[in-house]
Order: sequence, then structure tokens, then C-alpha cells
Amino acid sequence: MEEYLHHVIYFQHGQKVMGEDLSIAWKEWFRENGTRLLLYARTKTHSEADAQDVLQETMLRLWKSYASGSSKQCPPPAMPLAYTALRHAAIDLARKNTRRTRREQDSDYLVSEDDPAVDWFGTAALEQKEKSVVLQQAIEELPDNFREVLILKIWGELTFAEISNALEIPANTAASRYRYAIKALRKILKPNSL
Amino acid sequence: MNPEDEHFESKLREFTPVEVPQALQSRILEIFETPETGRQPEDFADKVTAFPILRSLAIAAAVLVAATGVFFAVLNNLSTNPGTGPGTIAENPATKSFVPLRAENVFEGVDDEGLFLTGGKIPVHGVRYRFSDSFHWTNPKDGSVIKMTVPSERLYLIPVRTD
Repeated sequence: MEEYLHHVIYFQHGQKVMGEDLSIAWKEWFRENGTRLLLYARTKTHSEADAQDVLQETMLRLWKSYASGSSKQCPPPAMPLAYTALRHAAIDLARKNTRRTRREQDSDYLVSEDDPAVDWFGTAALEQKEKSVVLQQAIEELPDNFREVLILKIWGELTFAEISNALEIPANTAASRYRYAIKALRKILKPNSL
Repeated sequence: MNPEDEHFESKLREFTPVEVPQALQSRILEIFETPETGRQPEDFADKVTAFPILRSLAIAAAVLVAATGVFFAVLNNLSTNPGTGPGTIAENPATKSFVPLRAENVFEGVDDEGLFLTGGKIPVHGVRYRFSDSFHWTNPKDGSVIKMTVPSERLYLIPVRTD
């Protein structure tokens, strides 16, 4: 059965794609986009562990739904859709965590918050590393709806139309949120701090 | 967007997100090696027929309410206009002095008769509703009252979808 599934013929952009090639295509897609997806997951969760869980859960959902649909047309999803799936997974996890926290508070069980802080931006130079920490703190101060548009635009490299699809908001709203986010970020960061 | 904002944007783009941790990357890449055993094509009709008996009961209840309403409407019509309906039986002169006072249709219960085949080999689900029908008449002249209570049953046969 497994052998059969790996040799099912799929159609991608009008070309026949073998099942093994499909797996390779998804892997390449993730290697290319994993960092930006993880960054977005980090902004949508409260801990590194949650961010990683959300990213893994999202990939599992996408793989199951995209690579096993009736149409068998299963190239990796467009990035706006991947972000939408990631956002929904983060919301699901937040709801689950809220219920769990409430239960634990009800039972006087204290949750240990020993999840270490993780840098969002990577660099080798010490000076740049300090700047990246400052930038991360400034981004965390932004309202959630500004922050996610900023992340998707700058590091997700999406257009406003794509952000509109990903966040299920009008494109004009996405554009205005982005402008406000830039202004707010500049206000938070001191001049020449980057 | 003004030039200062554009310069600020370019500064932001100089910062690159950290790579996915190796352990996480390995776990996710493993996902893409598993056979695609996810969801099957969804059939809306299958979802609708997930609870055929409950749906049948709901239909039966709706039919019952409608039938009860019609029953009392006819009864009221007969009581207010006795003898005007088609096929009315000639009344006994002795009963002319009594007028209908009240009629009640009391729901007693419902029995599930299970599944069985009709003559046409159509599977049906039987639902039997039990009632107690009460009729009160009164004689305005002497105030005498006639009360009659009749048990009644209604059996509804609801075809079961089997495809």
C-alpha cells in the first residue's frame, strides 16, 4: 500500500509528478519558506515551544489536506494560504491553552514559565545582534494586528493583496495597518537604533 | 510612503529571521515522507444522513404537529357549524340539545416500532404515537355533561434512505 501511495501519479502545473517527487517538492518548499513561517508563528504565540508546535501542526494539516485531496493536485500551497493555516492553528492552540490554564488555575496548579526567550532574527555580528534584540522588543510592543501585517509584508514578502487573503481582511485595511505599524515602530525605536 | 519610511523598511529587511531549528526541521521534513493518508473526499450527503433515525423522528414530529392542528381545526369547524360539512351523518334528535364544550388531544407517548419492510420491499421506520382524545358535551338547559375519552394511536411509516 505504501509503495502504491508513493507511486501515485499526481498532476502539477499540467505535468505528471510522481509521489516521491511530490515529497521532494514539499521539502524544498519548506526549506525555502520555513524561516519566515516560523517567524510568523513566533509572533502569534507566547512561547517558542508553542510556535514550534503550531508550525509542525500546520505542516501536518497542509500535507494531509493538500496531498490527499480527491483532486490529487497537490503542489505545496501558496504562501497566503500557508499563513492562514498557521494563523488558524495558532488560534486553536491559544483556545486550548486558555482552557488548560483555566483548569489549572481552578485547581491551584501553578504553571512554570521556564521557556527561554528566543531570538527572532539571526546574525553573527555582535552589534547587529544587539540591534536585532531591540527590534524584536519593539515589534513585540506593537498591537497584534499591526505586528502580523508588518511581519508578512517585510519578512513574508507578501503583497497587500496576498496579506489580505492570508488574514481575511480587505487589502486597504492591510495597507493602512502596515503604514500605522511602520509609524508606530519608528516611534518606539529611537533614531539610529537600527 | 515617504522616503524616510522607505529607508526604514530597507533597514528592517536587513534583519533575517533565524533558521528553523534542526530538530524541528527534521520532524517536519519527516511529515512529507509519510504516505498521504489524510482525509477522504467529503460527501455532503453522507454527513446529512449520519443520523437517519433522528431525522426521521424530526419529520414524524413535524407531521404529527400538522396533523393535530388539522384535526382540531376540523373539530372546531364541526362544532361551530354542525351539519354543514359534506357527508355529515344525520344527528339523533336526542343529542341536539348537547353542544360540544371541549376537546382535548393528550399526547401519551411514542413507541419505536423499529425497521421493517413494506409490501414493496421498501425499508421503513415505524414510529407509533399514542394519544388520549377527550370530548366533552354539555346541555345548556339542564347543565348535564357527557365526557368521553378515547385512546388513539397513529403509526407513521418513514422511509429509510439506504443508498
